[in-house]
Amino acid sequence: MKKALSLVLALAIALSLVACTSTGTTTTTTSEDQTTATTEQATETQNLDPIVLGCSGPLTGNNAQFGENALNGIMVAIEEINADGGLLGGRMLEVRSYDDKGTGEEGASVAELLISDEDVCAVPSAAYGSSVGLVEAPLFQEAGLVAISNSASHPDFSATGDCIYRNNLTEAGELQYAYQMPQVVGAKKLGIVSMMSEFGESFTAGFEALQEQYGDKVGFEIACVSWFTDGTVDFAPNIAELINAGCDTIIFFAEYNNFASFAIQYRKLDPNAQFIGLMTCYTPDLVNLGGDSVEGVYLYSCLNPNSTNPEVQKFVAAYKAKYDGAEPDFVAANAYDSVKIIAAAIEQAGSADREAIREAIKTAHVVCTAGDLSFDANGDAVKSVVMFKIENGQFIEVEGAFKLWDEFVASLS
Amino acid sequence: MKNFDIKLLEGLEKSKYIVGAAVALLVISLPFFGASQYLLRVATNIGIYAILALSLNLITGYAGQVSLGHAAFMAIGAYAFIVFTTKYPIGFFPAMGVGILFSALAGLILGAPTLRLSGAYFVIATTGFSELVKVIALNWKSVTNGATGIRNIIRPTVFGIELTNANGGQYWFMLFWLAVSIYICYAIKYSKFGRALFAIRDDDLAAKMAGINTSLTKVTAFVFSAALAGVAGVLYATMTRYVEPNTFTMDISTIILCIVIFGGMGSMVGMLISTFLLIAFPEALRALAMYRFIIYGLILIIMVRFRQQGLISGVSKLPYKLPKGVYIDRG
Amino acid sequence: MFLQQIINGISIGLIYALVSVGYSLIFGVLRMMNMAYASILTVGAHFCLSLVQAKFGFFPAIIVALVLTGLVSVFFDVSMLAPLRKKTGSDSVTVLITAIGFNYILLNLCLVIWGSERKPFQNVFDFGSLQVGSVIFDSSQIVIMATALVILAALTWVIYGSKIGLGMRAVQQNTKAANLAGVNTKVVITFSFFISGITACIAGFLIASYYQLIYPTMGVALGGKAFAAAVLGGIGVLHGSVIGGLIVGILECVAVYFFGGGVRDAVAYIILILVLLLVPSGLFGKSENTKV
Repeated sequence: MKKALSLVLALAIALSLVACTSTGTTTTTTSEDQTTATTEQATETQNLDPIVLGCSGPLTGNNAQFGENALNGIMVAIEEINADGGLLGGRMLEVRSYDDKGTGEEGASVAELLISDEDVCAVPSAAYGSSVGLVEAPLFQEAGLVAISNSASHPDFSATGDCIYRNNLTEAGELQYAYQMPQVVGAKKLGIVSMMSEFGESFTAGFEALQEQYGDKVGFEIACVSWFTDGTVDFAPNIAELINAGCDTIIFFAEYNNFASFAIQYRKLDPNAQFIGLMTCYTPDLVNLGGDSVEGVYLYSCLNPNSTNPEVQKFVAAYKAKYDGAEPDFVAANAYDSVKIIAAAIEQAGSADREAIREAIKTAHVVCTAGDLSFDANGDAVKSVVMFKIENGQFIEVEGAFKLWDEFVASLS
Repeated sequence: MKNFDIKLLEGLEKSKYIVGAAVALLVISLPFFGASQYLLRVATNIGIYAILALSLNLITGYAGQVSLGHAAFMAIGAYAFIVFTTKYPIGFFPAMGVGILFSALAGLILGAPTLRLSGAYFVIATTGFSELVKVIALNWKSVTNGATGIRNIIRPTVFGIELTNANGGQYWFMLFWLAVSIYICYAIKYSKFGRALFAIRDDDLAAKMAGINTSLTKVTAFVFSAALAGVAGVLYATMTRYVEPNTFTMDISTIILCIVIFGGMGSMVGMLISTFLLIAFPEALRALAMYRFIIYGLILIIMVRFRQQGLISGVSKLPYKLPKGVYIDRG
Repeated sequence: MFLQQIINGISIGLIYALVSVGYSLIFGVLRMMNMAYASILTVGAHFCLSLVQAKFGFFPAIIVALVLTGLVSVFFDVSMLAPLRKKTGSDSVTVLITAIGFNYILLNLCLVIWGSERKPFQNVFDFGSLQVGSVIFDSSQIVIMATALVILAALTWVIYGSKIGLGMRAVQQNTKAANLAGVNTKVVITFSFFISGITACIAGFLIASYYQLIYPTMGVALGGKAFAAAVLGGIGVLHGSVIGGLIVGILECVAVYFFGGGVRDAVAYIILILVLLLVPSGLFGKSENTKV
């Protein structure tokens, strides 16, 4: 009995291995969405090979929401392109998506998997965030596979090489807007709450550097910088620090899920302080989690769903229709745009080879949710953001809040 | 029937060198068979976990002490190695030596006071140590670069060729260290020291009565174990080329424990096969990767309950091997 | 500010106390470290979430969740631990490994079933806040404090005042002798696990309600710290666990006051290691000699 049990156990695992080696790396755990998306058109265009895109993102773990949204954005773009007859005269698009769990180890493994899969011609969505992105980037670069991140902000990311692109604000770019926020909302004593993470540490350092430069001209001072570690749920010690420093405005450098917990606990003690969140807080899940406590929060995003841009309207409508009325966030919009620009590069090159895409994407441009999108010599896209305030659980645009950086600096003196 | 069993086992015993040599040849020549970069990476990862399993086996399989802090020794080895390649560059191999030395030292510092604790308390102490190392790595920014982590860790260069994953160099580098680890474990197993460890595992008190300095023996084994984990830490750092405090989590320690228990505590071949099965399966069946830790948990429970000797039971089933020229009449 | 941090420490400490009592309960009966407790707590909280959402009444839902969690805990004992107790050659490490294995299974089942993202959880005890001098107490803090004390009192009564408690204490001292003296050890142990499941569910529910959110990994860090608190107070001693929890909570907040937020997580583990090295039996535990 005992022997039999352990034998069964061993056999099960051995079988799973055999299953793997026989099909090699072509077995892919495609999402359910994908199969439905591709089978619809498969009947008409069976004779043409599909064009396969790769996707790496956290589908489990703390940042699973962002990985899922990126994949959703890709699916919307692919469906749209396939419905228009595909690329290169009828070849359908397809995505192979793998869960990198938001860790460097898994990220590297997924990157190698995509590189080794010869069908994959480009990666419109590499890893969520810079810390996993920076592990994957050198691998993609070595292999000559074009990869775009829709969320990395670290300056080194796109500097990795000519295969690595960033369809998001750079850290310096994002800081220019984040630094305007306290000024716009009329902060006097600003408290910074930051997570001890790659992003939190470098963003705080960048913010403090700006304050050093312009601190005597802006209307606010940094009264307190309070740190917490990933996984914290009880912010009481941080809140005590902030209240003790007399902060009237709090800016929060971490994702929406942490921010919601923080806001709930802070509101119990001080209902009046103003909150500022970053782009990663712009998601309806913030309101779901935070409820009344996130009422009045100021934040910004590079996607404005209320924009009159027809491309944005088309994307938001398609996204909501496909995902039961869910609101897209900036990652979803960026991922959608990334597929579009890769599609443009493929059409421009007239081929879906890795090498051809690598050349074509340098000059490719496409009209999409971000306006006229193209990459500069560093491999970065130019992005602008819009400010929002949460009112009655809705993200309401605060018009004309941001100035161009030079104008902002000029307006100070 | 019984005789047949014994003959079969003896046959296996004789052919094991041939089988072993064939497997070794196959393993060494893997990069020539056009294995993809991804397969090489998985293979390298398996090798690193095999070293970790051998390392934990020294303390768990031989001395009967369960540690859940091996990820911490990996972290210490990796970080020490990185500091001595970046801040005080002394070259790859000396830095690797320093990394291993630091891990061994940490093993001594943790092992000396805690190994006198009884079984379960020692497990808890190693768990706490593991968490502590993580917090230190997060806060000691001047050395570890905090949560930002360290990127582009140097890779070894041999005869002017940088060993990368694409050229199979990383894989062979891992194989070299795996061979070294196997040799060390083999040497320990058949030494006086190794027999002392087995005696402690079977009966601590009796071992003490027999004149074995049990504390010293256990601590020495733990230091060796930590040093091997340090080797794995350095290999891991050069393979992934990115290290941050959350790289070395409790999950890694649990996986290693699972491998050791699955493979049969004390058996070295069992260790290798078990590593191969447990590390390759989530890669092979990515759809099942979600259930990975459920399966690991089941393995822990089932093995501990039904087959404590592991999947491949150690030497116990073989008849005692007689010296050459000595025969007994089996009737 | 310092005073406020002490108050925060007490409030965090009470949450640790709520959890560490659960570790002590099982240890008190079986001399076993129930490392699966944190996951049972998480499962309990998720039961509450799903059953309350099923909308057949709030209180019936909570009661069903309590019973279900109790059954999960009993299942753990009957299917995995009981066979080990029968088997010769199982030591504390074997049991510990089984508990760790079950912990992983539960945690990952939660991830598969409920998803990894943080979900909102209703705050049931929001009756405003109470201000004493410059210090503000939140109503949920008061509820947690009251519940922790009630659980402590109830468990103390069960163990020291009831007949089954007598059996529990007998099992703790010598399982075989208790059996010979007519104590139905099986029933006593099963009962202990059922009670421990119920306290886990209550703790999980209160914690989710206090922070107004719920997610599968909620028990991971909490479990580790609460375990450290239990060891500090002398694992197996109920009131020791409560005091241990308070000490860990307060020291954590004091550490934030002096060294900033980064060192906070280290406090519990430093305490754990120091206690294991210096006074393995904890502050209130009786030291035991290993029998030869």
